Amino acid sequence: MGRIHVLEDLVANQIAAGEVVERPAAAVKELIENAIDAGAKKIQVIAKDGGLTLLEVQDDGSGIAPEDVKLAFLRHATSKLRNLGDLSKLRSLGFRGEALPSIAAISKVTLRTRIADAEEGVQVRFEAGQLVEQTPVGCPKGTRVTVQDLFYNTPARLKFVRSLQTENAHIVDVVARAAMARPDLSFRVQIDEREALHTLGDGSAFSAFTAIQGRNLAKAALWLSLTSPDYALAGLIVAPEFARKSRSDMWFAVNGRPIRSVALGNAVLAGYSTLVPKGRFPVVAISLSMNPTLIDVNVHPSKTEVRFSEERDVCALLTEAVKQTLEKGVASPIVQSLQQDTASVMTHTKEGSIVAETSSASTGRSLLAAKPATSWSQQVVHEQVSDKKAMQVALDLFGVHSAKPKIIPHVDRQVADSVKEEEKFPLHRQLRAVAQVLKLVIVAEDGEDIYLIDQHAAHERVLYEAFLGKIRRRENYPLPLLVPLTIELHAAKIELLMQYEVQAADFGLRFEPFGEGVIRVTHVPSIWEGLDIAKLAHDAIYDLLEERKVTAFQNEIEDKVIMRACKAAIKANSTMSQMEMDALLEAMQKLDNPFTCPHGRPTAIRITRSQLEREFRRTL
Amino acid sequence: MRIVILKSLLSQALQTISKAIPTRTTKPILYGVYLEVFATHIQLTAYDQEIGIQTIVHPTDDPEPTLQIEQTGSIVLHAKYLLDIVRKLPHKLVRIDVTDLTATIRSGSATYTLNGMDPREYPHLPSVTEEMSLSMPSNVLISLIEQTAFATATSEIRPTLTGVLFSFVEPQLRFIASDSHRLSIHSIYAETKYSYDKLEAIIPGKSLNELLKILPDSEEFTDIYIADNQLLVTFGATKFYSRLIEGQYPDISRIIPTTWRTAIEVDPKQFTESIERAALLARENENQVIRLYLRRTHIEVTSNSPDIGKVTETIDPISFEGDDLQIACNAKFLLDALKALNNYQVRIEFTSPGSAFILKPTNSDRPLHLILPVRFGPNT
Ligand SMILES: Nc1ncnc2c1ncn2[C@@H]1O[C@H](COP(=O)(O)OP(=O)(O)OP(=O)(O)O)[C@@H](O)[C@H]1O
Ligand SMILES: [Mg+2]
Repeated sequence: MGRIHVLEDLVANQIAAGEVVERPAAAVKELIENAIDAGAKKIQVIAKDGGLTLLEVQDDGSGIAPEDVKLAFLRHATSKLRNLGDLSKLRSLGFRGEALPSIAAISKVTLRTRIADAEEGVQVRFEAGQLVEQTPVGCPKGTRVTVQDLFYNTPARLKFVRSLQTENAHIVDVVARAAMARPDLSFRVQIDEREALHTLGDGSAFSAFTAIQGRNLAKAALWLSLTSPDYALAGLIVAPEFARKSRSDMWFAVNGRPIRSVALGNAVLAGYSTLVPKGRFPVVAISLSMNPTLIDVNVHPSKTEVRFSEERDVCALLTEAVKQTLEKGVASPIVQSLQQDTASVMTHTKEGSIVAETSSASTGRSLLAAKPATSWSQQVVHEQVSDKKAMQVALDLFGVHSAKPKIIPHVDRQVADSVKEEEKFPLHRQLRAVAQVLKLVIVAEDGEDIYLIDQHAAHERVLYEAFLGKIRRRENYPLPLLVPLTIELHAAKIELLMQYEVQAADFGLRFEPFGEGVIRVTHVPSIWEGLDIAKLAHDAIYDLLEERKVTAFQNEIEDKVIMRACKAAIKANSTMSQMEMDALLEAMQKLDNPFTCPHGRPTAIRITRSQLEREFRRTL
Repeated sequence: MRIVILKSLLSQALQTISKAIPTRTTKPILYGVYLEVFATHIQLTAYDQEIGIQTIVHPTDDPEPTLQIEQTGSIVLHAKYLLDIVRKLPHKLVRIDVTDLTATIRSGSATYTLNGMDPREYPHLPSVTEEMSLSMPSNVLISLIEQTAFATATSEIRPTLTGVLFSFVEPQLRFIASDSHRLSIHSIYAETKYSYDKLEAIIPGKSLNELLKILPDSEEFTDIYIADNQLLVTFGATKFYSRLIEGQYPDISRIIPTTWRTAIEVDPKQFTESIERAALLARENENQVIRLYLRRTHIEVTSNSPDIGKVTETIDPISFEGDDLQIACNAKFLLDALKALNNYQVRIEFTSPGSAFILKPTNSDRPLHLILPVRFGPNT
């Protein structure tokens, strides 16, 4: 039975038309979306010469009924949407019926497809949008779309294509984002005869992430998961020290659709707070699930942007999820390998087995034994056991996951609880300072692992949290100035400023009019002690006047905390007595976040016992 | 605890102990001064674990009271704040009242309250048995330190070189310091209460520099005690403790040349100025290298920096003996040695462009400074 029908005009027009295929990767994106929409489990992408000579996407999905095949190349022909109401309930990735005709218009397309019920398949061939051939053909169930000589009849566009490497990179990127959004599907990309990406499709976000971002990043990733009545968030966020210089590795997907969103990116950054320095962006891959009525995907022709009806709620939830995840789980970065090459051979063999085993949840125990028994890797293991379920539930809840209709929400709760129970804060064991080395690093142990602690960074963190705590507890008292500062101001401004007298005093800044056009600052916040008080007072007062908000002023005060912590922290190249090292470790143990300094650098490196045993070949 | 004390007396005592207050520490109580009030005197202690200083203030019999003890007790107060406050107080006398762990400081119309820390948590000073000691006038100890401490190594690569070797072989006490590019030695004859065969210790250069700041420049006697791993120096009402560096100091007995081929005598001030001018350009190159052309007629000091330019300056030595010679060395080393020898007429003895040369007073072998030259490279 035919399922494709031409869209009503109204719908067709309301759906923004536009440039769908601006570069080869865009064609790949459209084709794999079609494959995903067709319920494929395995999707294979082949590209040659940056996709300009050949692009091929093969899937094992539903296939297209013979009578629909030609229709699929008609503009606004879609099986996915009948009217506008459908658009708001959209669960498929495609909805405009534009992709295939657009691609066919600028290339030579061969489509071969067979549905399960049909004995034989159909092959059609289009050139510059015209059907040139239609023949029955024997082929496996599913669809294969071959795009040759993309842009051959649009020279202007061809010129726009950048270097082949750039195009290749974009193709891999597009598939990788899709693969991350759908860890339950297996993707394979072959570029110029070389395998560029292969995800297993075992349902584990961790396994997809490992395949895409590599083992090092995966090891440093934490499992994020948070559900609210309207939204479910799940994904991986990587320890702050791996942060990048651009946003390009902050990946988001909404209901299985990879999207770009500055707002979500900022929400993540807010969650990392000072753990990553300004201008750095953490590596994250986060999937959001929500009722499709809460989003509008029809914002941009490439369908990579969405509009949330409650963007602020989503962002706040995301920030919270990131924060929570980091708080309970920021583990100390584990030293990768003391002896790079020999060790990496060993981990590689092991990695193979880990990746192979993750598809079955019951193998979680043996993984635990195979990997260092640290809280970090325990968490990863839990994630492997639980994320599949959590992810599935999240997707299923809103019917995104067409192939898996069964919902098991209560299981999810249990899994989530048990994970929480065992996710111990990584510094739960007492650290003992063994020695100071190079006047730079404290060597410590907890009976199990070795820690190398950067004395300055660690102390900085301790002071930072102490100062911040003071501000939050309003322990920031007014520090009297022996010589009051005078600041010249316009009379009108003084009047304005005096309106904030009470609020400013609340933060410890006190001032009073002092004759014509002058105010006198008598007290400053005590946390400014040791800093350039004159400049800070000046800046704070001007902020107050310009923004007319006490919050601006409050930020001005709090911003200085990092500076203050840095100044007061013990420097590298200074000797530390045993007493001071003990004091530092004890203070670290009480921190919310002992493992990164306020500038986002790591404070400690952990070398696990099992790593040492491996390095010394005590175990394999 | 309650006292009234002369502001200047208190600030001087605080100033003294503040040398043992760390600028940065992870153990906050170390920022504090341990203030103890006894019936007959008050005692201030600071101990940053590397050095410790303790000083006592007694009431005097002056017609005007200097210290009045009203109630005994103790507290630990943030030393830097206390010192800042005391310095700025308006009146000559300061009253300190401590209840629980809060100190109220009053002077004239000003009143401060400072939160104190628990004295029970303050670390104990190391115990050094005050039996075996060397005694010498304070200004003699000063000169021993001044002649040597600057030459200690700042890098930790060889920890023993960050200290000054204190070596007593009766009756001579020698201080030796070296950063392996230069070496400084000074020695004196010391008076001992007992006789020792040999006494050796390595004192951190940093500690000696701090000690230098508080030693009185007078004939007043100081006593030096060396225990297992601690140094104690007492002078007046003050005790100065320092950790000692463990390890074996390198043998330097054969480093000092006994012969020479070229010797000059210079006025240290004039020579210093010439080298400072040359060093202006030498600052730019890595080792601050300057070159000396020693000729019978005159000495030429040159330095050239490929990026900036070249300087040449000639000086007339007070005397010249031996052969002409060309040598290059680090200007800073030369300046340090000349500065130490500021009060002497200086004799410099060279053997060859590649071997160490020494600077010392014209008529004496102490103090003595040895510098390794820089080899002439293609660019020097
Ligand atoms: N790989 C495929 N497997 C099964 N059906 C397919 C496949 N590719 C395309 N189709 C069918 O062809 C129709 C047209 O595809 P096309 O990509 O042009 O439009 P669309 O996916 O509906 O919307 P959009 O333009 O938003 O992608 C689809 O609605 C679908 O029914
Ligand atoms: Mg489509």
